[in-house]
Amino acid sequence: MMYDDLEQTLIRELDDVASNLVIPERPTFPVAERRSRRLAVPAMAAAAAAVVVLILVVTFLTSGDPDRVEPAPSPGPTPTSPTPTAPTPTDSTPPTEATDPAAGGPISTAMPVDPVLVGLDLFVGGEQVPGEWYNADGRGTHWIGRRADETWWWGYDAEPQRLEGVMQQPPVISPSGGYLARIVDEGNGLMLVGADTEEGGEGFGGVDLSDITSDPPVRVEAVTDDGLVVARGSSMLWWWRPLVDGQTDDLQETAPGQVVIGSTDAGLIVNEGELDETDGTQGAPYLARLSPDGTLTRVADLPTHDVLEAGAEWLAYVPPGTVGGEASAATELQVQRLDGSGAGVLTPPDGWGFIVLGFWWESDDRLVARVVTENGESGLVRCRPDPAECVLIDLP
Amino acid sequence: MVPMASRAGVQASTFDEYAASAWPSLYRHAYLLSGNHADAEDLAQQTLIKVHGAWSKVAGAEAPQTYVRRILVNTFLSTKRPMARRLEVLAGDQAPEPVTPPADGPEDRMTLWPHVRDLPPRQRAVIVLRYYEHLSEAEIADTLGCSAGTVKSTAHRALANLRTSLGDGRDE
Repeated sequence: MMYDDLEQTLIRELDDVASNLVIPERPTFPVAERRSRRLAVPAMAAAAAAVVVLILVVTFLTSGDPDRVEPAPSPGPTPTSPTPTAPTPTDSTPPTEATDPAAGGPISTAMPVDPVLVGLDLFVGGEQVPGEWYNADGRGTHWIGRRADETWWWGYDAEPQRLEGVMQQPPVISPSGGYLARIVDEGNGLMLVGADTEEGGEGFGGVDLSDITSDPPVRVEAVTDDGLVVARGSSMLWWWRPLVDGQTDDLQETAPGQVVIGSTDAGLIVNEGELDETDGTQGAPYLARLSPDGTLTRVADLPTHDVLEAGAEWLAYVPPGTVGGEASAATELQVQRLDGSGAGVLTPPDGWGFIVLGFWWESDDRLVARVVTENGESGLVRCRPDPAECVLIDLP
Repeated sequence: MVPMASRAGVQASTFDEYAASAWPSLYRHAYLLSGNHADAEDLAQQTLIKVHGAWSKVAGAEAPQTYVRRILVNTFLSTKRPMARRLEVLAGDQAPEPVTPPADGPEDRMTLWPHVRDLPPRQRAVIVLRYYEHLSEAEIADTLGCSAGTVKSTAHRALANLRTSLGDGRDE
């Protein structure tokens, strides 16, 4: 490995610091502290043990009575879902993904690890985040959300952190949740800023937008998992490279006529057209990857849509005309393989409708969606596209 | 550099023996991460507590030093810090003002170490893992639970901040 002067100095100084330290005597190891840190674990273990003992006692009593007649099993459906296992986040171990390994197997009904809204309640890693929430987005335990009081927050766990500053447009988080970007009104002009979503939330710096005139206002269109940020206004389509060289360039020069209109787990949603009037409802939208040199590489063709989410293997969408009007929910979601080799329709359980802005691919072949009843009851479903099936998720 | 724990050493020892032998190395790592003795002692001790809690896993691990390192670094990164530190704008050209290092001692004469202590925690962790432990980007990514690309970008920002702190405007 080649090091420059600064790196050589770093190596030397870190070694010098470590070598010259006066090491204090090791403190007496406080075993009692370890025992007291996780009261929930022994409590749960004790509860589990009690259940086992109870089962054994019942089994013993039952089998030990020769005159006892076993009742016939009650009629009913054979259970197909595994016992839900809620993730148990710890300070050192990320929660386990609650999806099923087998594509054709039963669909888990466990709460998702990803940030999810149920009504006005926000859950992150299975834990409820304080407050009432209108919006949330993110992945794993990294999220952004809007509270009922219109303030925006972010987090890398269930503890919310305030996003300071005046924002006229919502912030955007990258598909994997690692980065966020937003446009802040600083009084004398707009500033495009970003940060990672780890503890410490290290900032990207900012891009001064005070010279930009745009109607509608400039908004962040996408943040990639590489930390590239796409911002769109009525006369500009910039991509910012805060983790590469901090510079911005105009995508209209590197990808003329192409407009980035959103992002998904599988890449950016792009369509041809004018900057201020292009969306996914018409034309020939497609999925693309953005390279640091500003090249848009086509990954797959997309159907026209109001809302679309693409995962590694499948995409799900609602067709144009679904959003708006008085409709608050959709009766079905269209799904198709990215390579076009298969397609289907997802329907929620009876009495439920999909909230059209509330679905995402939890894994390659599992989709989680917010659902609602006509009476306003909120729920969640987990669906698989092939064979198509959705089940209600057990809520906390 | 003394390894935090070798597999042979772990297998041959009880936890108490391991803790006694690993303490100096753990403390050195903890000091480089935290930048002061009080926090280093807390961090090293918390790490040992967690190692004790997972002793059967540590003792049986293929690479126990990797396991212990992960505990140490993640304990450091998960320590709550003042809210003002979060989401601060910290580009390469907006690094924090240098803080006057403590008087006395060889550290006082060092060029970069005072600025390493001022780096945000994740950047500092990457610097220590890369230039003290000489880990590869993949190994650092494994330790931090992130992608190699994130390690690369974090290291880039850390070095840029250090150069800015030194008043050196050169690119890498």
